[in-house]
Amino acid sequence: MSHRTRRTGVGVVLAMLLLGALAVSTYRTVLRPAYADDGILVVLVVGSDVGPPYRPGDPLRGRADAIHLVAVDIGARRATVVDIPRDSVIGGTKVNAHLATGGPDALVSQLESFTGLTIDHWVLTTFRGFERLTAELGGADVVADEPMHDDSSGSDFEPGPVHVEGATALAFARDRHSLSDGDFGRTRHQGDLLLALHRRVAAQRPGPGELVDLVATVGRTTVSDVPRRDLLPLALLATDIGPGAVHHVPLTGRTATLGSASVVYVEPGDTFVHIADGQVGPPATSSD
Amino acid sequence: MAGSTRERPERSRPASWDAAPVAAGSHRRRRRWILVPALLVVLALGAAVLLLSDGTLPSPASAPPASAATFDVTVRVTDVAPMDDDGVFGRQPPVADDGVVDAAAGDIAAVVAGYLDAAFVSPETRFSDHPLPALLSRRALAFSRGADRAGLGVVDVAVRGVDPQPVRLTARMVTSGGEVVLAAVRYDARARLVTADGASGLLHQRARMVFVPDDGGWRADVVEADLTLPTTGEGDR
Repeated sequence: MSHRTRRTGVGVVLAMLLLGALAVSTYRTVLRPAYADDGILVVLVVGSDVGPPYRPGDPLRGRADAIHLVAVDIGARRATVVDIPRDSVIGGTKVNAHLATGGPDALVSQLESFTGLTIDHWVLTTFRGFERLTAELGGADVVADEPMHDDSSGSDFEPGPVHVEGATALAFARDRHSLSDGDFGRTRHQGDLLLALHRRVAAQRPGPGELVDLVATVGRTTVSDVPRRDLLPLALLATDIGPGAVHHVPLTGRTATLGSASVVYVEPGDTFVHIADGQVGPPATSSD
Repeated sequence: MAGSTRERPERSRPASWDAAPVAAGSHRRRRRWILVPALLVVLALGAAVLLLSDGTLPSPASAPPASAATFDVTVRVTDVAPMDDDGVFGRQPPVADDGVVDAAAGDIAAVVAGYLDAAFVSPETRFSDHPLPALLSRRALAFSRGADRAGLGVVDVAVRGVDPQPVRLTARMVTSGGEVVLAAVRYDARARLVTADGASGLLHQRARMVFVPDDGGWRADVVEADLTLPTTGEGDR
């Protein structure tokens, strides 16, 4: 054996011994216990038209300008968002009036009768609350499907993708005058905003610190009947649902007049039957 | 257990932990030929000691303190944020008193210190699942039974000694109704560790957790923990 070969061999042995002495093992633990284990969770999301500073008063006794049901298949991590036009006739009158006359519980009761679903929780925000929510979450990427220029809501969007937050998000959510399908389009846009906010949050796959920020932000900008101890597991559940696992169902129907008021008779079809049967999330495609 | 909200001087480390100087300079080739036999002699002596000692501890001069030391955890509150509606509904949220916030932060630091000592220092409980109930919420503990818990120190490793270093914990507190209701916590815990078969190096746990009130105290409800250990070979998993 040559000196060179011997030196190389000694070097290799030494390197192996030294590497062995310095080797490390790494381990990772991630615990994210989300809300419950199975079943369907239904949450009513409400936007009240009353609340300071824009319209002083008790937001829990305003009219419900935005009404959405979010149904979540907890085990499958899938969701369906149903938009209900505020002018829908439910319980003999415009559905948005039930908040003003009986508060969130009355609205829940009427919607449970109409849909056949059990609503587990309600969450309510105001104009200001929605502005702050969208701003603190970093905004929402939505699409203006037609020109939106409306002094009443403050909307000013050309057709195409738009990023909205704060006042622009509120304007996008409130404008119905610019839209060819009026209240249906406005309600659909509100649902678009909900899905866009979810996309933004879920895509970040928030870690422990970001989860705490999310819970604090939602707490600051909404009121709800969700027990405080459930806010963190609900935030975990929401962020565990991939954007592709959310189905958006804007309800439509026929317009009519009731007394002197313009109203909508919604035609939900099988939407609520499917949810009650546990069929939540995007419908299966032929390739599934 | 050694939880504290006050800064303490860092403990001096034994001289034996210092890294060996590395040869360098214009006489590299010559020094290598001095270094190689020297290293071989050291390795051979080490092997002889291990063989002759039949697995018993080497001389005290090369071993870390058996278990007298504990993790000294200091906590710094970096932010206090309310989760009550922030005037949106026409009422101002109650403000949490500084004393309430500091007390909660101190309690959380004590929980972390107790966990670190039990998980990595105490010979009776280290590298087992015994420390977890005192750290995790009931929900997280139940969830952890189906998860890989190695990052929390549940690792099959035989240890000769551990020398913990001071831990600086940062906490962002969320308040509601004048009380602390959530805390986002992060820390890096380090300790010098010697395994039973002589491997030595740095134990490092990097953790981010969300603490919630649970069962009369503070417990971690969400956990992300990364653990690095010197490899021992057969005992590791």
